[in-house]
Amino acid sequence: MLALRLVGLTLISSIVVLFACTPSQPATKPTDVPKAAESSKPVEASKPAATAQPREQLFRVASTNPPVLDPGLITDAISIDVVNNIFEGLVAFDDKGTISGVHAERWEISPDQTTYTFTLRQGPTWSDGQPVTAKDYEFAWKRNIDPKTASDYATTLYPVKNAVKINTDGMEPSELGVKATDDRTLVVTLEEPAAYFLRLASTWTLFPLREDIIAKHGEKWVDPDKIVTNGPFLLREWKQDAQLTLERNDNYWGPKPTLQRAVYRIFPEGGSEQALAAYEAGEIDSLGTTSFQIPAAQIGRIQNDQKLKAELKEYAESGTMFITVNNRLPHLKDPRVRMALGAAIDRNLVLTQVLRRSGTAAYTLQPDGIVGRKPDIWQKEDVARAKQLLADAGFPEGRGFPDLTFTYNTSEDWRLLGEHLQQRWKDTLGINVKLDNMEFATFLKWRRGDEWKSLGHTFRGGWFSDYEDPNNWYNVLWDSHEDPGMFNTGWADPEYDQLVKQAQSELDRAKREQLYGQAEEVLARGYPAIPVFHYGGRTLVKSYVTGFAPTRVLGLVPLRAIAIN
Amino acid sequence: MGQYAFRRVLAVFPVLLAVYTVTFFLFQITPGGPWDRERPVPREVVENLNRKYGLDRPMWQQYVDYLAGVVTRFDFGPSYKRVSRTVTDIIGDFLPTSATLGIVAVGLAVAIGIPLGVLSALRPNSALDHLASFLAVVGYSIPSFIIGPLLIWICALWLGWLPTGGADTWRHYVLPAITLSLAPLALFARYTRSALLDVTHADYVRTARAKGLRESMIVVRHALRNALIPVATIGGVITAEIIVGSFYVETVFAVPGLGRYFVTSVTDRDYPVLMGVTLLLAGIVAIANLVVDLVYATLDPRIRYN
Amino acid sequence: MVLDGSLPLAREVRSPWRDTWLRLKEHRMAILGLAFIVLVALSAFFADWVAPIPFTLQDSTRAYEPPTSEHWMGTDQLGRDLFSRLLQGARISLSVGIMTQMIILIIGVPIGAIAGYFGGRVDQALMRTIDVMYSFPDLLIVIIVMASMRAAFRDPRASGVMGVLASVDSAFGGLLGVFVALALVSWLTVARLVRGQVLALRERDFIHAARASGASRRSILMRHLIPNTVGVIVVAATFGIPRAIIVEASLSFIGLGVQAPMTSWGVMLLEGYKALRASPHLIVFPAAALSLTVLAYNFLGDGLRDALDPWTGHSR
Repeated sequence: MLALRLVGLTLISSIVVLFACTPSQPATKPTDVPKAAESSKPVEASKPAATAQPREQLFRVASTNPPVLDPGLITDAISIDVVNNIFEGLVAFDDKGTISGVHAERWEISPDQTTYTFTLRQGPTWSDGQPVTAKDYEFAWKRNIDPKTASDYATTLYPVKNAVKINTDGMEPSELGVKATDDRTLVVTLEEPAAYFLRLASTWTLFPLREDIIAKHGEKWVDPDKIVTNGPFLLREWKQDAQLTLERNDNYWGPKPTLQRAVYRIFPEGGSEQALAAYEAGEIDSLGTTSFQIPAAQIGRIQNDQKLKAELKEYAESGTMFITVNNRLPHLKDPRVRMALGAAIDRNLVLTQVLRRSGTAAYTLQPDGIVGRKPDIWQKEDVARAKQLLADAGFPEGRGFPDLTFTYNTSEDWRLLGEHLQQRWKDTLGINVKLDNMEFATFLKWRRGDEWKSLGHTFRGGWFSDYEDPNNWYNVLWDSHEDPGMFNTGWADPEYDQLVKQAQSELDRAKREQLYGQAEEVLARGYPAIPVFHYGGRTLVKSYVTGFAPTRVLGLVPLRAIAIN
Repeated sequence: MGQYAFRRVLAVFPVLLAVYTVTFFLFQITPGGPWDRERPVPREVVENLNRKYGLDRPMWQQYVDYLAGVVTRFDFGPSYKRVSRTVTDIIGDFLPTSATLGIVAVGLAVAIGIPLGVLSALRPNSALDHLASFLAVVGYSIPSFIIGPLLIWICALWLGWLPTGGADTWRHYVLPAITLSLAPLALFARYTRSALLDVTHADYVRTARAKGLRESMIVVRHALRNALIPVATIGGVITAEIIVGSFYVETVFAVPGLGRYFVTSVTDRDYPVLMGVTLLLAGIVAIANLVVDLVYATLDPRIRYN
Repeated sequence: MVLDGSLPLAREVRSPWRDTWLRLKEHRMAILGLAFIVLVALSAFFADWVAPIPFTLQDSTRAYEPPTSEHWMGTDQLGRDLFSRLLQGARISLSVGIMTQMIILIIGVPIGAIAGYFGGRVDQALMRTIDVMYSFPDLLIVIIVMASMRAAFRDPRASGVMGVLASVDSAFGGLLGVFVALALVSWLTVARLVRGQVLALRERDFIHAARASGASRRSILMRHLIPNTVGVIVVAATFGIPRAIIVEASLSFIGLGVQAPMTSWGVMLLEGYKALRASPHLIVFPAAALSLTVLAYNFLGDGLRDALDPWTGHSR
């Protein structure tokens, strides 16, 4: 009978599906490169890991797809993370601020601090065998400052002589104040003294590049079969959107890393849940630091699980989340209003209950590690004082205060924060808050446009250090010349401008610190934006991974320190 | 029929041109552009970027140049966001994965959905019918971003039978294919049932019954072919959409496919990629519809396309 | 035998409407479905009275709690009562579903019918236009529509028509743009379905008969063809409603849907999906609500299809 036949067909289809679900043999990891023996056993969350023999030195981490691997064209953190492992430059800093020479064996600074002479080591080579020379640095810097290259981080080169004119005014790139006087000597001339220049020299835009390779392949020079690198790891393979594999550079001039291979397993953006599932299934060894946070909803479950709790790793980050305020509008002009808004927030509640993320309460805009910061002189959390401030500013109990709009680009965290603040400011200050969420690109456009300037109230803001120096905060963000291009708060204080300009080129370390300290005082009085929390990172790492140490700046994970037990 | 098919194939080109033109126009009026970033980009750098990608040319010239590139060299341009890749690279890398997943999913949906619909129609309003309705509804209304993680939780994490994501081996395709097939399955089942119920009351079926033919013969020979017309209608469109990839399923299962790009190219304002995938979809939809119309004619010879 | 019409009629003549309603009543599941929908709609409408706790009341220290006697469905990410949120969400979800679907039917059915009936060049023109509209990036259109509407509504000088639209927009939690954009890109499938059915039907005997008896084209369309596509239309509509709800939710994924603190079922599903393994109640309740509503629409749809048989005109 037809009915029976159809039932049979359905049954068979279901059986096929079920069969697909049954284990025939243990799930083997996909083999991509037959280098070392593939024998990683799938580690299930409930079973203890049975390791009789030493594990393979393989580290698998979750990340998003890096859009760019050219050190001069970088736009985002995951690209920086990968680039920092396959390329290197003149110097490097550790979290304590101690500098070490990488390619630079030694350097001399002229008495007026405008000329730096780097002597490069003998030894460092490119992955194709050619030695790294000073000419590679000269070429890279000139190429990155060239407006045709259109590098996002070209501003890192601005302290160098003529850089600004080249990048924005049409001067020839060959005029840049950098010269390779011979294969091992690089002479850099600055526009004016800049104490933070060595910090910049440790960033990716100042890494060396191979002129001949770029000339030969154009933009595609970063393909794994063409790329030439100089770091402790090599780019072995890049399966777009699937995974990126790095391998130990056995010809590396310095101490060779213990790790043999690192696989960046790629998940789509916003895929923290998938990454977490893969971690718990033992398919990856860490959730990583640059791409995914543990979802707020899951942290409770993880903290209640003995094993997972032990695998949590928290680390400090150099960054602050703050609420940008439009200082131009009549009801937001008075710093007391802004301070009232800031004093009314319960930051610990925000961090532990609302966002459920790692971090510390922020009262100053500058994070820990930035010289000059003085959290104690800023407005503290104090609801009674907040009410008082608002009343003093002319809005007792929020009467007469127009509806406040809080704008953010769509993301769960911002929405939670926004909804929380909506309740909080209403309860404590009597202010009505309207939420306005925007699609990301629309948001970016809006905040730089005239609509923000004339109509916008507040939006979610924040800043991460590119390099840990007060210059990256005091000068780059709040100087009234930079403000329009950065957060466009409309706040301006001539005394502040003068202080930070002076501090920028101050040669004496102690004096510099004092100047920035004074600028901090002006900033605390002016309160252009509302600090909420300093970022902290939290991720999961398997217990057999050692040496996992994310840097405070950008949370990058140097693979050379990692070893598998 | 052959002449009709030929004319239809020719008609694909004006369709593509129209899609190209309207999409091009849409790009010009969308707020926000590809160079908007968190960090401020100096005005000069934006100008340089525009110059580099030819966005400083007059609009009509950009329109013509790009079109010329597509038509003569199949060149859809470079990706604005992924600097070292061209659109053709991207489509070439990811379309096969999406298409494979899609075909498996549609196959499943057809193999299970249509029989389910037939069974329901043969015994309308019975317990079996209601159960089938319930399953169809659940499969359709619970979105893939819920069912997916649920399946991952059960099959991959709890039972450990399948990987949680990616697309390296056939095992990686199982859960995404199942998740992807549920909505089409529900649709096929419901439309089959509905159309069959309409048809089994028609005259020619009554005639066949009166002639004493077996129920199964009646259903298959006469009723089913007509009932499949709406199924073919939606089937064409569904297949076209699924083949180019589903954003949700690919995101939830971390499958490196083309579906994600439909959304990310919009949010990134990566216009060449968006144009590429849009034209691709347009082409596939046009062809799918042609196939569907030809299928109509096979199913019901009375259909004429005067 | 008297043939002057004075014989009492064996049974009363009933109007097709009444006939429809009576037939519908016989369909048990359909009535159940209808009752459920009405119940949900009323609860949503009177949400403020039905729900014991206001849906905006937050208490972050009691977030993610499973169901208790105080919070019948537990609490959400900010400690708000999930039951109240569900009822609020019902408002938006039901409106999105129904409004969008109505617009879709009004546009799609006539176009599909015309294409199928007239065939030839008309058909080709309409279908190719549909192909074109089908392929363009809906997302882009929605972004543009939403951005323009936002710009227009935000302007405090909005008056007249714009002002009215602005208040309608905020009444629906900022969704007017979404209805319009969604409807604009979704009517295509209904049109295609109707066209397919009409193509198949127009060569049938009863249509030939109607033509032979001199019925006008319009009357054939309205009285014979369209009613016979009811089956397909009903199924499309019942599927269209949840689709609209889910598409609205996915628009929220990228910032184009309902504005906080308003919520919709789709948004609740999206927000809850990350909590699946930790606090499943955040998903279970909205998913159940959505599925049951769709199921109800389905049964109602079935009943409607059967009940609308008196309109089909051909022998049963």
